[in-house]
Amino acid sequence: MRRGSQRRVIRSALIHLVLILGSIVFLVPFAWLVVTSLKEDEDMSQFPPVWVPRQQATVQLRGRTLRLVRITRDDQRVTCAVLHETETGDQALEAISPARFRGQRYRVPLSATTKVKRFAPVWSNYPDALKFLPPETNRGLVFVWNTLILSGLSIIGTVISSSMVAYAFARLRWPGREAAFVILLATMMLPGAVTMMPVFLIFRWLGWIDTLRPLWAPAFLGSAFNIFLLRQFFLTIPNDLEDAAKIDGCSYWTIYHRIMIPLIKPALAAITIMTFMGAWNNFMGPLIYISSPMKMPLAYALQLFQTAHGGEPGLLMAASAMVMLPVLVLFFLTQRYFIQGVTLTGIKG
Amino acid sequence: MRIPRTAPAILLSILAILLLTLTQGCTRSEQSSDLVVWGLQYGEESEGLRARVQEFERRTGIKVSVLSMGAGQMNPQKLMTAIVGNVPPDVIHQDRFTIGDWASRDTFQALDPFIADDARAPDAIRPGDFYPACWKEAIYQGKVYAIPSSTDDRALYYNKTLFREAGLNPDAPPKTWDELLSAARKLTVLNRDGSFRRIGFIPNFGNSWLYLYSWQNGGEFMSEDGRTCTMDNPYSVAALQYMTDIYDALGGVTKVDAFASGFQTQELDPFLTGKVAMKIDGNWVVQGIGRYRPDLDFGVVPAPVPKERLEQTLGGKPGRFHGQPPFVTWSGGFSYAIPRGAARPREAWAFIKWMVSPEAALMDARAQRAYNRARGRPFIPGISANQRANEAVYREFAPKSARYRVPLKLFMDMMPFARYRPVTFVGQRLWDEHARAFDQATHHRETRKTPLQAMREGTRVVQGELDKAFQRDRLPPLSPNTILIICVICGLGAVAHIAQRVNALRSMGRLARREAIAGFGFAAPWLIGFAVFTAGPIITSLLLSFCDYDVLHPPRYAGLHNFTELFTTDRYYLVKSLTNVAYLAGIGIPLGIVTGLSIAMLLNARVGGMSVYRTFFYLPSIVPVVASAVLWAWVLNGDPNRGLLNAGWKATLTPWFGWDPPGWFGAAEWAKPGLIVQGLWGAGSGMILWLAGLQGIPQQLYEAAEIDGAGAAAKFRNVTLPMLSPYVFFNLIMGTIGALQEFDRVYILGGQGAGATQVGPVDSLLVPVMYLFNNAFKYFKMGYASALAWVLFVIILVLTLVQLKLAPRWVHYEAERK
Repeated sequence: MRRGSQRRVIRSALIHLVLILGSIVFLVPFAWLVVTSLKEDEDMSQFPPVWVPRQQATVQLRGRTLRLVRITRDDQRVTCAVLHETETGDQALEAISPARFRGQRYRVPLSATTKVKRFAPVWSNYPDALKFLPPETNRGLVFVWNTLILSGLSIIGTVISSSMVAYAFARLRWPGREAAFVILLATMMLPGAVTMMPVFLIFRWLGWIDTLRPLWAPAFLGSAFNIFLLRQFFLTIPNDLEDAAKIDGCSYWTIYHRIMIPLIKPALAAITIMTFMGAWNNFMGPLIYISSPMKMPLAYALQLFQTAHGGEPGLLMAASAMVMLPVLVLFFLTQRYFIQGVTLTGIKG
Repeated sequence: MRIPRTAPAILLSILAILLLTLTQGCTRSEQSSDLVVWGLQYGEESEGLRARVQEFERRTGIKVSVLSMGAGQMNPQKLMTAIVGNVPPDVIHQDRFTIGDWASRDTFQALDPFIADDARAPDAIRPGDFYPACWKEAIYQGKVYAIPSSTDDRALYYNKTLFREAGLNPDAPPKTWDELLSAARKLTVLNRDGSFRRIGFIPNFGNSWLYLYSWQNGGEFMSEDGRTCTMDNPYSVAALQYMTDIYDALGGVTKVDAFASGFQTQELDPFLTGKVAMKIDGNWVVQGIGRYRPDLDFGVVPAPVPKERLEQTLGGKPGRFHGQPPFVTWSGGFSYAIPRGAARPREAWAFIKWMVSPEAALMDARAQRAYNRARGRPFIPGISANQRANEAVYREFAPKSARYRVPLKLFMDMMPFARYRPVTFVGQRLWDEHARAFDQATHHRETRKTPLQAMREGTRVVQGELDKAFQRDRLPPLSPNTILIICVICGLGAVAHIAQRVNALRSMGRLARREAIAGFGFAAPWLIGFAVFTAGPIITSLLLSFCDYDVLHPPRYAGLHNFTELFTTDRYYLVKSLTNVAYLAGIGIPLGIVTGLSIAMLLNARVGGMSVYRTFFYLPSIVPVVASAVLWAWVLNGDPNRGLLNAGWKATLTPWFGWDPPGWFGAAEWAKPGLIVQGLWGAGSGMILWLAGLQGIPQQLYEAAEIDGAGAAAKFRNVTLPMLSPYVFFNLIMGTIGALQEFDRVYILGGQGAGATQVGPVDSLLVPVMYLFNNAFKYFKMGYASALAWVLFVIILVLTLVQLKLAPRWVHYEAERK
C-alpha cells in the first residue's frame, strides 16, 4: 500500500515536471517578446542573449552627466566616467571606484573599455513605436477604433443572423430545408479562394473598396460554421417549451427571441468570442480591401509596421505586445467561453 | 451565466453608437476635399519634405493629405486595388522603373496635355532640365506618364581602416572584378567556430542587383523594340556567374545569408559597424555615415568592372567595350504620377510641378539643414532628377567637409551617363524574375541550377507575358450575350425552383404554411448570402477562369489558355506551391496532432494545478496570427546572436553534436520547418478538443482493459486511440482544408510585405493561395487566378472525399456498436 502511494507521488511529480517544462517552452516566446520590447538596440545581438533589459549607466560628475565604463588596471576592475572622446577614438577617463583609484585620469582605446550597464527597461520603445505611426492615425488609436468597430459589427451580425438561420434549420419545417442544409455543409469545404475574386468585384461595384464594410457586412448574412454549431445546439432543446408557447399563440419571432435565444446563451457567448478573435485576426481582408491608414485594423497595421521597422526589434516587439495585450486580457476575463467554443466545435467530429 | 436585465439595452446603445460613428466616418471621408498623396513618407527625418508640402499648402490654399504606410510606394498591390476600386489618390509618388508597367495598364494618366498646356508658363516642366536617364524612364510608348522627382546612382563604398588591417592599400581600391573578388576574400574574417566575424563584400548587399553586373559586362535584359526578353544573353549570364562565384568563395549563399539576416539598420548598419568591409550602394549611404559614423574612414569609387571593359575603354585595342564609359552605374528613384480616376487632376498637376521645382528643392534643403544642424549632424543633400534643382542645391548646400563633398560629386558626375532599367510593361515581372534568377543561381546547391538555366527560366516567364500581351487584342471579347444567357439560364432555374416551392406552400395547411414562411424568413440572411456571396461568385469565377480579365478592361475569352499556362509555362510555380503545401500539411498536421494529444494526455492526468497549466498551453493559440508571426520571425532569426532559438541551439546542440544552427526563414530548406515550429506553438487550441475527447472515454473501458492485464501502452493503443479516432479524423479533415489555404503566416514570414519577389528563400514558402493572391491582386490577372482557384478547389475536394472514403476503415464511432 505504501509503495503504491509512493509510486503515485513520484508519478505526479514527474507529470508536474514535464508540465512545467512544457509550460516554459510555451511561455518563453512571450517572455522574449516582453524582454526584447524593453531592450536597447545594442543588446539585440548578443550571445548569450540578454534577458535583463539594461542601459548605459551614468554618473553625475561636477554637474555633468557622464557615461560609465570599466577598465582593468593592476588586475583590478576600475569603474570610470568618460570625460570625452578624442579625435583618434580614444577615451579620456576619470576613475570613480574603487576608492584608491578615484580621481585618476586615463586615456585608453575604445576597445579596452567595457560599458557599465544597469537594469533599466527601455520603456520608451512603446511610445516610440507609436510615434513612428503616421500622424493621421492619432498614435494608433484609429487602428484600435477600426478594430473595435470591425469586431463589434461582426459579432452583432454573426450572432443575429447565424442564430436566426440556425433556428430555421433546427426548429422550423420549410420546403427545401434538407437540401439547403446539405448545401450549407458543402460550403464549409469550399475554399475562400474560389469566391475571393468575384466577391472583390461585387464590393468594387458597390464602391466599398477602402472601407471597412466588405469586412463586416458579410457577417450579417450568417456564416456556415456558426449556423451549423448553433443548429446542433438548438436540436438539444426539448420541444415542450416551444409547443407550450405555440399554444399560447406566440409568433415564431417571439419564440425565437424570448425562448430560444436565452437557452442558447452559452453557445452564443462562445460564438461571440470566436467571431471577435476572427475579426481581430483578420488579415487577408484588410490586405485586399484597405489602403488608407485611417481605415486599417490593428493586425494589418502591425504587419505594415513590421515591413517598415523590421530592423528595429525593440519597436517592433513593443508594437506586437500592444496588439496582443487586449486579446490576452479578454482571454483571462472570459477563459471559460474560449474553451467552451473550442469544445463546441468538437461536437462536429 | 447571469446576464443582467439591462444587457439588451446596453447592447442596443452600443450598436447605435457604433453605427452612428460609422456613418459619420463615411460622410467625413466623402466630404474631404484634401489633395490625397500616396507614397511620400513623413518621418523623423523628413523636415525638408514637410517644408515643401507646407509651402505648397500656403501658396495654393489646398490642403494636402500625405498618406504613408502601405499606401502605394513599394507595395503595388495596394495602389492597383485602389485604382481598380475607383478610390485612387490624386498623386502617387512611385518608383520610376514601374511606370511603364502602370502606364501599359491604363492606370496612370498621360501628362503630355498638362505639359503642353503651360508650355509658356515660368514654372513649366521642361524635359531638358532632367537627367536623360530619369526622364526617359518615365516615358512609355512616346507619352510622359510621370515627372521624375528624386534620383540616385550606385558606387563602391569601402572601409579604409579595414583595408589597412587586412594589409590592403586604402588608396588603391579594387577597379576590376578580379580585384574585387580577391579583396573580398582578404577582408573576410572568420570566428574561431568558422562563422563570419566580418565579410569583405556581399555582391547583392547594399544596392547593386544583377542589373549592375550585367550592364558592366555589356548584357541587356530587353531588346530595343521591347518585344523580346534577352535576360539569358551570355554577358548577363556571365555576370550572374560572377556573383555566384563570390558567394561560393565566401562559403555559400546560405552561410552568407545567415550572417546577413542579423544585419540591422541605421546606426547598426553592418558597413558602419565594420561587419561588411565593402559594398555597392547608393548615394544615400553617405548621409547615413554623416549621421551615425562621422569618424568612419571610408572611400567611394565607381563600382569595379570586368577587366576587359576597363582595359579596352582605356585605349587598349578596340573590343566590344570600345568607346563606352569605363565605369557603369545605374539610377533609380521616384517620380510623381496622377492615377486614372483621380478626383483633382488640376491641383495634382500643380502639386507635382511645385514638388520638382528648384525652388522647392532649395526650400527642402534649407529646412533639412536647419533640422540637422540643430542635432549636430552634417547635411548632405540627395540628388534631384531635375538638374537645375540639383545645381542650385549643390551651389548652396555642398558639404564643407571633403569626406562628404567628394563622394557626392562622384555620384553627381556619374549621373549623366547612368543606365536605367528598361521601360516595359513587364518591368515589375522582369525585376521579379531577375531577382528570382539570382536567388536560384546563387542557391545552386539546393536548386542544382546553373546561372544559364536560372536566367532561361526567368526569360521564358517574361517572354510569355510579353507574347500574351501582344496577342491579347486578338482574343475575342467575352460577349455580353454569353454572360446574359448564362445569367438567364441560372435565373430561370432559380425562378422555376422557387415557383415549385411556392406551389408546395399552397398545398400545405394553414399552420404548416405559416411555419414554412417563417422558416424562409429566418433563413433569409443565409439564403441571400449564399446567392450573392457564394453561388454567384462560384459561377462568375468559373466563367472568369476561361477569360483574360484585368478588371480595367472588358474580359476576353481565352479558352483553356489560363489552364494550359498554369500547367506548362508556370508549372514551376504550381508544382512548387503544391509540394510546399504538401510538406507543410504532411509534417505539420501529424506533428500538431501528436503535440496536442500529448499535452492533453498530460493534462488529463489527475494532478493539481491543471487549470493553470491549461491556461499556459492554451495562451499561445489565442495570440493574433500576425503578432505571432512577427514574434516568431524574431525568435527564429537565423543569426544565433539574435534569434532566441538559435541562441539555445548554439549553446547546446552545437557543442554536443557539432550541428550548426539552421537559418530558418533565411534558408531554403529550413523555412518550412520554421513555419511548422511556429504552428506547433499554437497547438494548444487542439489540446482542448483532445481533452474533451479524452474525458468522454468511459472509465469502464480502461478498467476492463486493466482486468485483461493491459499495460499503459496497450491501453493507449486499444482503448484511447480507437475512442479518439473521430477526433483524429476531424483534425485531419479540418487540418488539410486549412493547410491548403495557408496564407497569413506565409505572407508575413515569407517577406511579402516588404515587397519581396520570392516567398521565402528560393520560393520555399510559396503556397497556392499566396500565388493566387499575387496573381489576383498584384498583377490583377483575375482569369488566371480563378483558374488556379478551381484547381485548388478540385484538389481539396478530392482529398476530402478520399479521407471520407477511407474513414470507415479506421474511424471508430461509439454509436455504431450499439
